[in-house]
Amino acid sequence: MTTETITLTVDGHEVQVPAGSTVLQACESLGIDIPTLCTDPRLKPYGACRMCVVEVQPGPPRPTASCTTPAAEGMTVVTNSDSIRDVRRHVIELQLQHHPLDCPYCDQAGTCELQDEVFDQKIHQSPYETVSKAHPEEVLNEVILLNHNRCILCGRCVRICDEQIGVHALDFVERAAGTFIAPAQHDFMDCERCGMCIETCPVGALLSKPFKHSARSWQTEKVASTCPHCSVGCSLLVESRHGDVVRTRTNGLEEPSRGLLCAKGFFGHSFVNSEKRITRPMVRRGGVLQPTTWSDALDVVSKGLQNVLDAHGPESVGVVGSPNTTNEDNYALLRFARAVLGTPNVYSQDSGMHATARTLRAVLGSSTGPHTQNELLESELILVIGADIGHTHNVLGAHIKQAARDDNRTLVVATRLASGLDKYATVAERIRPTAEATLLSSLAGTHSADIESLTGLDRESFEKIQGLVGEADSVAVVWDTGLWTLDRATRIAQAAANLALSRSGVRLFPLAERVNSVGTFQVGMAPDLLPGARSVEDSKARDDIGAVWNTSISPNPGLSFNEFISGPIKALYVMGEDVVGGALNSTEASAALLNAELVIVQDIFMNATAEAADVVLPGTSFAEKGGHFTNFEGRLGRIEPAIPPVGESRPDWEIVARIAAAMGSDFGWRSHEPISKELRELSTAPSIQGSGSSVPIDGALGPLDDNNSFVLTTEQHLYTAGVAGRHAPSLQTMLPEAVAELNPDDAGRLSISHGDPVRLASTAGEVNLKALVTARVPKGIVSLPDRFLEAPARQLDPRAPDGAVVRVSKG
Amino acid sequence: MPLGSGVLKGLKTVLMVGRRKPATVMYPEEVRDIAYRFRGQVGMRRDEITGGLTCVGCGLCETACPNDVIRVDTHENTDGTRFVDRYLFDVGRCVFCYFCIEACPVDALQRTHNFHLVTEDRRDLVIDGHKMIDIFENDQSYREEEQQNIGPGATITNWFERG
Repeated sequence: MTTETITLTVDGHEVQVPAGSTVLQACESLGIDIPTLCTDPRLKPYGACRMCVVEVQPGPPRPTASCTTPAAEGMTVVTNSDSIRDVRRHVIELQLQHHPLDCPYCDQAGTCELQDEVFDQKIHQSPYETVSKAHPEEVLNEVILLNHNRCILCGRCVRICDEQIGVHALDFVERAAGTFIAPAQHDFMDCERCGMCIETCPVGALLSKPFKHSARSWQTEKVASTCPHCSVGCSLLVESRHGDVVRTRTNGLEEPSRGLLCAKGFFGHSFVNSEKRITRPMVRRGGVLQPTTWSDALDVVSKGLQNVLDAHGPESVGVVGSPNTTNEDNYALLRFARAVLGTPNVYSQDSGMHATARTLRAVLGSSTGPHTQNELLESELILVIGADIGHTHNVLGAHIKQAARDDNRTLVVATRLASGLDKYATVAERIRPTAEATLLSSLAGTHSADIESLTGLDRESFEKIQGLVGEADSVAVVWDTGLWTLDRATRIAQAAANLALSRSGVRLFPLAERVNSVGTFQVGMAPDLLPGARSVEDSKARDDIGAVWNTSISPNPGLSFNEFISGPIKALYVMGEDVVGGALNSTEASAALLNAELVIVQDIFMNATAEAADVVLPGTSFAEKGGHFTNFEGRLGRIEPAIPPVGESRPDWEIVARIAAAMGSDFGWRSHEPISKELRELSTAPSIQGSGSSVPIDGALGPLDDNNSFVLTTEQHLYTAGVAGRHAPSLQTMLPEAVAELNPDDAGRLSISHGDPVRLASTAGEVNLKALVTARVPKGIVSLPDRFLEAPARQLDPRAPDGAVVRVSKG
Repeated sequence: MPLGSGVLKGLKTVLMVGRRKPATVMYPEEVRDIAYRFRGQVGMRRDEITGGLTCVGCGLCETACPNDVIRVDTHENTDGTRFVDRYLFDVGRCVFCYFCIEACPVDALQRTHNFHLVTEDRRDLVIDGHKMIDIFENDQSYREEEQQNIGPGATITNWFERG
């Protein structure tokens, strides 16, 4: 980065700007407002609208577009003169020749940049004959509409899709006055449904179908918050009206999203006002869950827990926190469990992230904590392993694409399925499911067996990747930890640690499946952890925290979740989690829940766990409470209440605090602020020396016995977001049901076509699904989406579906 | 003062007042004349084509209203147009400023002379768009006088026809 500055004069004021700035930026730094239509801070200068014209000396004797003119030393700029006002006025008048004045009807009215300009320039009528276009509104896909009549051809949608998202789904078609915007692939639209074209459109040409006509832009209340869907934790604005969340939008250029959102962030908010929300406390009476009052439900919970504590002791009670809820909620539950119930059996049902964080901390030490996204994007080589980041963490994927293309980062993609990142990658290869750890470990040089049988990569491409990794000064390894087995997450983390130990300049970026997975680890939602992810064996941590909590904390870690549910379980308190539907061991978990005396579930939707519960308490979603999520960088993303809690639901921390008060310990919390403060004060990072030991990772892939055998992989799809996503109608329309994805060649061989029913059978069971034939799946692989309520993959192999061998036949 | 003069004084007052014409009007049997510019309740015009609300749901009346009287809930219709789910007007909060009528781009909102707002339940004062159409159509005194004032042949411009 250059720090050189240049000096120029704008309207008689001298201004210094960094070299490389445009004249427009120089004017803006002085606070001079220059009207623009085609400028967006996320995009490169383009010069389509000619609204930003200024007079530049020395320069051509005519108005010059300031957005595309680089600022130069000694330049003199005039931003407001008769001729410039005249040009700007004509630009608007010419736009109005075709632009329909249906503002009372248009969703963009109020935020429309053309409307603002017309208003600012006091244009009352056009001197030209107005010719309204009369194209029908085009439906581009489930969520995006295009009204050609209103389009001003600024190209912002085309550019944001190409430059920022790296998809290029839209383009200009035809020429001159006949130009219009259309899908770039002509007959279909290769769209990720991120909605950024809608977001950037200065007029009402691109429209969001779920939002259309539901509110006017000035009527909504806007609250800055954080996206609740994945561990990137994008900053967003929640817009609500009369207690309904009507849309979410980007929130400036805030980190980590930098003005982008994905399909889940932009369209995936509608679960908040779903009719399926639990709105009243329910208590099981006569075998049926019956709605009741809060005081009754709290009474049942506190007495029930007290009875279990008296009869069986604190060790028989377990609590389960959730990576879907905030740090404050989890901390409230942790304090309730350890200080009020006195049980160390605290869990969080996030399989991959905890195992990964533990392993990395044990091997590399605590000083190599989470790195920032900036460090990722500034690494010379970015290595994406395993899951397709473009699907699991779409916005981070978009930033990686941009870094590879614009900043010359070497991008190496070794994923199970073809990825949107491939076309920006130096090397893009497919690896077999479960081979991620072996590949990472091989790159560290810790074994020399036949690479092809280990990873499914051929030796030549492996050597190419090894060469690139060897040449790079800094390497960022990115992988998704949202996997099904702890064992596999640990293996990948160990392999990544091996790579980090084998050379310098390696930074590791494990990405969690859910928004607050990192947060649950740092809050200490585990039987052997305390706030700040400090170990219970650390006596100073116990003393510090025990003093605040007014209790003495036992140095013995609790049981693991599996030991707990197969052992002393008598009561279970579950917050925001589906331990039956979402857990690793559904059969054991559901059996344990049926045998337990008291099961309390606090959630926003009914799920398999809630169906088996004795008490169901209505919690709140991200839009109704305050708090913080911790994203993959360790950055705290603040959430703010945008609407009042739906029905009788209450913020999760408040429910926990009320139960604690009913059991005789008032925490004294009246808002989430004191909890944040208490958590912050207790979260001193522990200093842990890493073992520094590299453990060889090995394991060959099993051969496939015949033509009908496939290797199963479970992938998080771009449009799936767990239980919440299944209750968001707009995400539901994008991927209505779980599908089995197959390679076209394989599908042709088995004479399966798009939409046909297929039967997948393994030794453990079989599932019947619809087939989706797509080239993104390599040959010999069948892919199922995970995080579906039905969870079809688990029926094929309850413990570790990935890598299982299944037989596929036409069903 | 002689005895009995108070009674005579009272009798005089009674006789004088008793001969006056009474100021009281027997509302609601009798209704006083209403001035042309009297500001009554806001009504709504019926759409000539659909027979429903003329309102397009732009929400400008809601925005113009100083007193949070109006609430317009809309959604997308099957043909892609805006559909007004419900148009709620809380007469109990209305100050009859008529800003909403001025804001309406399709002249859906109309003045009326109606002031018959008596009710025993405040909730009855929240009326919907169809009730507003009834009120407009049952109160033509304003229209008749308007036609007299501006003369026959005056038309109301339809925003949609302007294109």
